Amino acid sequence: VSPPPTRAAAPAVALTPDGYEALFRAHFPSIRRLAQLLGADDPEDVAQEAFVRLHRHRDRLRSSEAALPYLRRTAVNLSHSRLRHLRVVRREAPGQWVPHAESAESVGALREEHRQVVVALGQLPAKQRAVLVLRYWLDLSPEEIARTLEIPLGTVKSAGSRGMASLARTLGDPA
Amino acid sequence: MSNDLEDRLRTALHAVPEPPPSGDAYARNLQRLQQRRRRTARAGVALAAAAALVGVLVVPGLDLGRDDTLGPAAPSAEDRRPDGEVVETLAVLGRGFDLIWLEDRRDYRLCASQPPYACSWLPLLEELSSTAVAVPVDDGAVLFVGRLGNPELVTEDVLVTGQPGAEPLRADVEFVDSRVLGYRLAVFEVPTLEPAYCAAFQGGGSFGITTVNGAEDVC
Repeated sequence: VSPPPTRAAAPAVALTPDGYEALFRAHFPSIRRLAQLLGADDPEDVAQEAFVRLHRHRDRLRSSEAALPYLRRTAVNLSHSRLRHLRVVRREAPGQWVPHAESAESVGALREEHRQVVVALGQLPAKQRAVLVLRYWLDLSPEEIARTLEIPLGTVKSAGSRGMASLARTLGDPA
Repeated sequence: MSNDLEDRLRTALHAVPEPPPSGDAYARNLQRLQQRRRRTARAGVALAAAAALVGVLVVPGLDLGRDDTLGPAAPSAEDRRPDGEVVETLAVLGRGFDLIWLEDRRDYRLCASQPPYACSWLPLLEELSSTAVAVPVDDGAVLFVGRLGNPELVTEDVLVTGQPGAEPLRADVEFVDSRVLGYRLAVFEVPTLEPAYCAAFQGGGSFGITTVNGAEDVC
């Protein structure tokens, strides 16, 4: 079982080169893991790209504390885009699509009870999945999730509620 | 909702093995940043200088001799770029951009036509049946992809608005056919970076276009 991810806000540093490096070293693993839990087949690539985009927009951040939500939001969006792409590839050229070894192994290595949950989570619509991962892996509050994803609080609550209801149905858990 | 289920979900998420560490990620990030910086600095694309955007709408279903496979045929040797990327040009879009296929990644990109070929990162043609996406290129250009569904359309049918419901912008729409893909691409520029764009088609159908990290379903 992995240690709980840190809930600490991004370091209060300006995005100078040193600040960028500190931010990268502090949060790259969690951003990569976020992409992994969202189903990206190459979480390393998603996380790398999220940091590149942060670097590109470093002058537009409202504050240094905005960096981490930006990274998370970008990782969510990039993961969604990647999943959409994979859906089309699987549909139109199934012979060309090969599951990413890491993502397949990470699910395969789980105990059966956990594997069922992770597989069911992967079947949810992207927004529901993102809300549940941010809520139950990162332990963000609904308000923090709304700010991170830049969506209304009501949308967070409804997506979370629907996602949990779907999981309950799939897993046979009494809601 | 059952607390048991919440606990079960929380436990399962933390039980997923982390991806194995793969060397110095920060060094790779610096390499990626430097690569982007070089490409942006040397791109010299007129479109970028004008801070314009490029939109591309995909018109599927045309019989242009498309292969049955999603990916095009293997590129020839002369398609190998100086940086080692093996590519095939699927469509010359004009305005300084091409639609290309990256053989090694088996993915699509929107790239500047001139060296050093500034490219978008996201794959491009995944959105044919759903809401369009805007794919930013390093210099601020954006590729729009969406399903049109009506091969009889003419360029005048494509309307572009700065915001949902706004008056159409004056967009100079051109159609470009890609025989490799069997798609017709509608290419247009819009003058300024807005939070969102919509492309609508006379005779029915519309889809939203979002900019960098923008919300979905804007139209």
